[in-house]
Amino acid sequence: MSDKNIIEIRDLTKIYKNGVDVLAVDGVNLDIKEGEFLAIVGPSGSGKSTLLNMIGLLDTPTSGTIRLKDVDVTKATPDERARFRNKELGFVFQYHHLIPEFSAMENVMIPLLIAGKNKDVARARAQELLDKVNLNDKLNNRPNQLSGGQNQRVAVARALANSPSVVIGDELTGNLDTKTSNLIYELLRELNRKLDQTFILVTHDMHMAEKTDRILRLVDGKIVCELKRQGDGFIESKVCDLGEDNGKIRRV
Amino acid sequence: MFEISIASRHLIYRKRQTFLSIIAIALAVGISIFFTSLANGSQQLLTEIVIEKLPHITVYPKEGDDYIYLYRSLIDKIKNDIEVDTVAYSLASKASFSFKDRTKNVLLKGIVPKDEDEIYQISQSMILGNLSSIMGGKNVVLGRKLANDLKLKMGDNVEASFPNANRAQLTVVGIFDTGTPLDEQAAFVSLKTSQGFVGKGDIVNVIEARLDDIFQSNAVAQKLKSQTNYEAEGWQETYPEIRSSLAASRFWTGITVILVMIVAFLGIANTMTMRVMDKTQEIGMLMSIGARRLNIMKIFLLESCILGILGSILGCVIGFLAVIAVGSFKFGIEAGGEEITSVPLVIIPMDFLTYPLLAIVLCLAAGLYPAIRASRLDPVIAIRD
Repeated sequence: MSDKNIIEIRDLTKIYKNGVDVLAVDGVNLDIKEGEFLAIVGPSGSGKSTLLNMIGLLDTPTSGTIRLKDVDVTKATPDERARFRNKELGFVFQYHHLIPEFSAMENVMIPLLIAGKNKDVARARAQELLDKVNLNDKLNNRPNQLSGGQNQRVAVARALANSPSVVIGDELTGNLDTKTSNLIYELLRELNRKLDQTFILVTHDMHMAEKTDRILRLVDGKIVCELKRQGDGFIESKVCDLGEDNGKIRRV
Repeated sequence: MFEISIASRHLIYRKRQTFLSIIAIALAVGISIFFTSLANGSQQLLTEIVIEKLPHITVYPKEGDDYIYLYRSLIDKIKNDIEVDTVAYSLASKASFSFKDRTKNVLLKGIVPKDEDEIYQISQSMILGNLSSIMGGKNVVLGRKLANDLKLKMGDNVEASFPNANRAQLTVVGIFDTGTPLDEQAAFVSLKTSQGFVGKGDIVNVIEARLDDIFQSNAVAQKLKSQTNYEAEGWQETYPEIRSSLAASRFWTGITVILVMIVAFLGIANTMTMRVMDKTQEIGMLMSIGARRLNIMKIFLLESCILGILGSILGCVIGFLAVIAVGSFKFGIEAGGEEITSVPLVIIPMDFLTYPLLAIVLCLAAGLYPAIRASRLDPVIAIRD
């Protein structure tokens, strides 16, 4: 992990206007460092996914700024945002969202083809990534021929296809059993260490969150707690309101 | 281009839906080709009847006159000034034929058999006697239906009465069957006989001519009218029923084509709307990994375009085979005095380009709205759906 900020978020606010105004994200300030392995936790409706979608340029903030690699992406046009999503961001969702008609290899090739890479280059890169997620023997299997964990590993490989600055995961193990979830987190951790890949993961699961380097707790759209890894445990970097998660976290 | 691999994979994996869509388009194209060939065939048949058996231009007396007095010089002028093949002149008048207790109104035409034959080819349609027999006195040749209606046989004497002339007895010396309305209305006598009834000397009231190109007839008639002051009209005016029959056949073909194309259009629009609904999450995912709106639109437009192309190819084959199959079906009916032994079908190669192109354009149009809707989806909502 370097000292360089890859993402700088300032006063980020999102208000949904569906008859009544709902403040989903409330003036969040956050810096994320290159190579960081970060978890965002919090109860349902706390604004985790909204924050993640804004960082992932899928949603636009009502006010505030997000700088990705020193570029203010909140001002980008839809096409520029699409280009950022393709080149600088990788997504892994709760459901793998692989294209059912495509093989594992072809699914991983898609972000590369969208980026304009030729098929041979895309195929070689997809093979390399599937090898990294230990699926080199399933290249030609389609999603219905793979297990949930295997599909999620294909989705991770797809997220890494264009060597993005940040990989975003929204409840990416929410659909998997504990054993498989652990394997996925170990894989992400390994990729984080080997490739210095930045990961931002939203999760309900404190056990999973504990595998990261920093845990942010979001309640009512505000960051109410920040925990940083120190050795095997975590220390609170500011006053924490941990809600029902209090006590579940191993303190130093 | 990744869009085409996604589009084609969607189509391959939805075999039944894809197959049904292709069949819908194929039927639309095939039916259009078949019915157009049928319309082309009947147009050709009618055109042949016009070319072979009817005058292309008819000249009548000047306005206010009942007769053409100096017809020989007019015919010379027509022959010299305007490129016509054949010219015939005649004196036609309304008459009433009575035989025993039956009476029928008749168009009695005094003709020069050789000239008249060049236009109407009556000799070829004679079923009893021959046309030139009218030259030997007060003889008449009449249509089969007219003869049947009056129960006339060869050698019978029919009484002809005229609005402004004395009654006369005419001997039946021939019966013709042209398959046209002439069969129940027309009777031929020699020009001299007819002129005798009228009693105004050497006059005619109709001059008929044939052209090399029947579709020039209106233009030639106009030219003739302006040069000679005689009334002249082309076959389209003289025989409006032929023109309207051609127009009707084109109209119904047009309606058929429009209807089958609309059905295919709705089918594709429905299929594509369902595809977009099925693929909402996938669209959200593609957007999240960087697909632009245009990429998404392309995927769905390509799908409808591929359906259009495959359907059109199959439709051309179906249309062609239907034309061959129906065209090879033999039977015998009489129409226009000719025996028709098969359904008249004429394939125009251009149709194999026009209808597929129309179908492909319609498929694109049908896919456009679903494609635009797909491209406008909010990725956050689409993924959650």
